[in-house]
Amino acid sequence: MRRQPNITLLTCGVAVLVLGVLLVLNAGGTIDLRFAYTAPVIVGALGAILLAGGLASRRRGRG
Amino acid sequence: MSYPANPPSGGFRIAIGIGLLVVSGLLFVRAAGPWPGDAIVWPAAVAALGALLIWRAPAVAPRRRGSWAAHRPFKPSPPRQPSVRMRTFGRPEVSRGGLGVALVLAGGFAFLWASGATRPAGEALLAALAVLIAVALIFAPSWRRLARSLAAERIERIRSQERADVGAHLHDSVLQTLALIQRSAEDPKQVAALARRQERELRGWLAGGGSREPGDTLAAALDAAAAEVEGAVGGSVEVVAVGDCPLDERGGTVLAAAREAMLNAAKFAGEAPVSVYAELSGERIQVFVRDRGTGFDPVAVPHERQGVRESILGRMRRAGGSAAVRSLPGGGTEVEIAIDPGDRS
Repeated sequence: MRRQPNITLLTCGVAVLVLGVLLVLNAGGTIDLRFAYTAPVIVGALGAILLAGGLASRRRGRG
Repeated sequence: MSYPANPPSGGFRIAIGIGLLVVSGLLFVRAAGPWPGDAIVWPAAVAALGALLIWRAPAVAPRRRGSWAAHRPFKPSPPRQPSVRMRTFGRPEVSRGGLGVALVLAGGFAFLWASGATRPAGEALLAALAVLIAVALIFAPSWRRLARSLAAERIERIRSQERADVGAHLHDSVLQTLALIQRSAEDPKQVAALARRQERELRGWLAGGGSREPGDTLAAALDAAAAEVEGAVGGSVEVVAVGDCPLDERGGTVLAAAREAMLNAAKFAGEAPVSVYAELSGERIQVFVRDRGTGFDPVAVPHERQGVRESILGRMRRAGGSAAVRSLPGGGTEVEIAIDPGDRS
């Protein structure tokens, strides 16, 4: 039986990855990560995780 | 990550997720792009969310009248769900439309407040608020009385409707039967049959099976067959059915055999009642017909008498079921009829 990927965990991983890359770039001085830019990224990541969780839950309910 | 055993459909999480993404986009534009100003964008966003909730609110569905009477036909209700009218956000008291209206009003007020438009109207608003509070304090007792009287009137209307329903049923059944009994007072058998039929009908109605048609299920068909036998032969046939099953081909065979057994029992039971006990399920159908009549010796039945041999034993054998007749002269008779789902029909 083919195993279905966990979309919510996958989205969490991508969000953490993006956040990590941004922090690395900030530490290296490539970008200037101020709160005005960090806040939308964190809020967006939370939104994406919730959206993915909701869609996965709906798909499970349908299946 | 773990999930609850019975997760919701995910609509709430999807809505919050989309909302957070929109907020994230707005925050990003606020930091990087052209920004019309907090006083415009945030109230507009709140008002847009409210408008979205209002547009997506479901239409008001008419409420079904609840039943208060215990004698009403019992239909198992499905697990309680939030009503269509009150689609919920976790708590069942919050309506989507109401929340939307509140958000739109809050967004408009926030815009007016942030742009300073409420300052000149502040005193007028305060005066209007004071007047509103005063009016509410003055008229609150009358409104409360009005609401109570409306509720009482509604309860009284429901009660009177239920009384009318019960009255109509009593007229159609009990009173009509009593009139028939008065007319046939000189015929005790007829009186007993009428009373028995009425008792059966009334018991079925009180037990909540009033709407059951004889053709629907085997239990109802056994009731109808017992009433038919009582009408044809007289006497009393009492049916007790545990469970129920649809009246398919298998059930039809059992019904025909049981009817024949009831007919025989009613003929030879004398004054004693015939009792029918049925265990009905999807797995096995079993019917016992007993009487305390004269009884007979099954071996001594002449070959040309086909009643028991063909109509009960042969019929059940052909259908793949089984039937057994246990009787002793003077000791009553018991007919057992049984069939399993796997039996050939």
